[in-house]
Amino acid sequence: MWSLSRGPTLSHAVDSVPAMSRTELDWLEDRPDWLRGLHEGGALDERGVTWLDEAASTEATASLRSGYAGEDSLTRSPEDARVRMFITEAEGKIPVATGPSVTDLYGIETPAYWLAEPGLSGRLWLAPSRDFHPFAWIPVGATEQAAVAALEHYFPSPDLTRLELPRELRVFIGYRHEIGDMHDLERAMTFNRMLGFGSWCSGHLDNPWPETVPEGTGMLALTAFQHNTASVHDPGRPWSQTWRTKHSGSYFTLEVHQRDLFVLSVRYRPSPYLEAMERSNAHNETRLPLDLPPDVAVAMEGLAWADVPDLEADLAAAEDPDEIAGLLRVLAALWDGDFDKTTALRGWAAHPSTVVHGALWDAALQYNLQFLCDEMLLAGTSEQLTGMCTRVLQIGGFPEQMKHQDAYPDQAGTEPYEWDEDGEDEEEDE
Amino acid sequence: MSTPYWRRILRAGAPAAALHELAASQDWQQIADEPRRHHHSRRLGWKATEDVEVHLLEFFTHGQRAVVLAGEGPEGGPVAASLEAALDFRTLDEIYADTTSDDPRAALSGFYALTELTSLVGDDPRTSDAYLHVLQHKEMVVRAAALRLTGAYRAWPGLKDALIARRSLELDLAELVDEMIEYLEEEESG
Repeated sequence: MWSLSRGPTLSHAVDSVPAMSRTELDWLEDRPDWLRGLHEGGALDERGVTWLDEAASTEATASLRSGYAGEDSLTRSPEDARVRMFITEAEGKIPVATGPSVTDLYGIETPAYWLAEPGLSGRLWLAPSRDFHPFAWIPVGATEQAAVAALEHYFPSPDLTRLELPRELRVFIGYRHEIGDMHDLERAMTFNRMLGFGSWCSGHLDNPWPETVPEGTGMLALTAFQHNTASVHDPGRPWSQTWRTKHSGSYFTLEVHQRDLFVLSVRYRPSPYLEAMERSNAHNETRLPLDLPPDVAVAMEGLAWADVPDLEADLAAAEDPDEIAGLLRVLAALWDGDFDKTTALRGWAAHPSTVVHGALWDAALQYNLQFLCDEMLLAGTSEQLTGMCTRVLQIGGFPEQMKHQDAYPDQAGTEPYEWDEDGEDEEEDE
Repeated sequence: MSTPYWRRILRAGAPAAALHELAASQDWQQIADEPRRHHHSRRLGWKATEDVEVHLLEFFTHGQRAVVLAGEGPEGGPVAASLEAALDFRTLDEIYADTTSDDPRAALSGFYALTELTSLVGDDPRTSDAYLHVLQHKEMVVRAAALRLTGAYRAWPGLKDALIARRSLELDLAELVDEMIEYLEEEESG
């Protein structure tokens, strides 16, 4: 079994390559010319890639299979169906190299795997870690330039900010009474191997965690930072918890809307590896954007979701007021932040059903949409809502207490925790 | 009252996509992407030149979009000209005309836009006239907007007297009128 802590880091590998003897690929008798070229070129070696001998290749296959099928998992039992899927997907793809690694918050390294697919249309594949699902492995081509480009895209794992993650995917993942509360979701995400350790709440637009915690940092310090700094909630925004995906550095955010709706928002940098997402979509019967980084698709395993185009089509076709109201509640959450779509809610104020007005009222209240309250009054909605909207006018707008509620009101601290350079726990008083 | 910023309001329904396209075609560096907060706008910002920044502000509460330009002064310059050419802005004349309309939707749309421009047009006598029209509008929802946004017009010396004059006329909004007069008095006393 490959030890996660043994994978070479990029800087370490660059320093040490000249002194290492390179493993030959003679054991792979029918290796194609492009693989010989990659091996002999040395460009991958310089960037932390280590070539495997036959025994190590066999071991790597077992590790990849186990990473997907759970044969060595502490949290779930191995599944025969997943083993069979792995065998199908991995057939003809032979591990030939590992490295470099991504390093997590605790300094633990996770190496990448490179697989060669010989044959006429053969090429090199990248599994950024053993936990990467085989149908999301990345076909990188058969040239040194393409392999280096893939390597530099993923290693070291990019520490991107919100500004560098221009795309957003938003999907509805369920109601609180269906999928549990935020605590349940957080526990599930803790075991999600595509997400880094250390999450943060809506009080931070960007990751407040350091790249790696100072050496010797204890659990008390980590907990203090999580509670007092990372978990700070901004009541002006929907309650949210965000994780960074390990490989693409995307922001994977769970949002709570209207106290009952869960939305998954993913901010990402467009991935150039469209074929990987095509394969992932085909396997999972999904239609995620092709420029979505494949590690996000792997992280979404286990979630069921409805996307905006589907829900908008349902709304366009809906006639039953209860169905329209339900869809408007969910879409108002998904449209949060989309100016054009949110302002278009105004058009529904003229609907004759009070249940639809109720959904609009909830959206106006939750998202401070005064224009919607105005429109409901002008459209002459139900007597009850007219009274409620009038009261909003009388008190000068939606009150502060209608802001988004904190899902952890007893946990988020108000005083920031700062890392002590010596690794000692210390809370800073303001 | 003056402002160092050039500021325009996008026409209702006019897409902001042209601004994104302009930023991409001119290779403007994006410098801000802040999501909206309960009482604050969403802000997208670009650095157009070394000295000029362009910001798109989206006020969800009132359904208004503003484009603000820092670095060319209130009269604008080459970047402002490129924005004028690419985007569909409401003219000031249109905004005043809407605000003084008897139609409540037009009056609200105009008034919410005018409120985003008060730092630019506070000295224009049409601004206080427009505010007075909204304050005395036949529709309560329009009058409530005038009262709620009193703070944006506090530079007008006649504002407090105008509110006091509404005291005996407002029934449903009497509480809000008193609250706004009290607010102005607190502002006066510092």
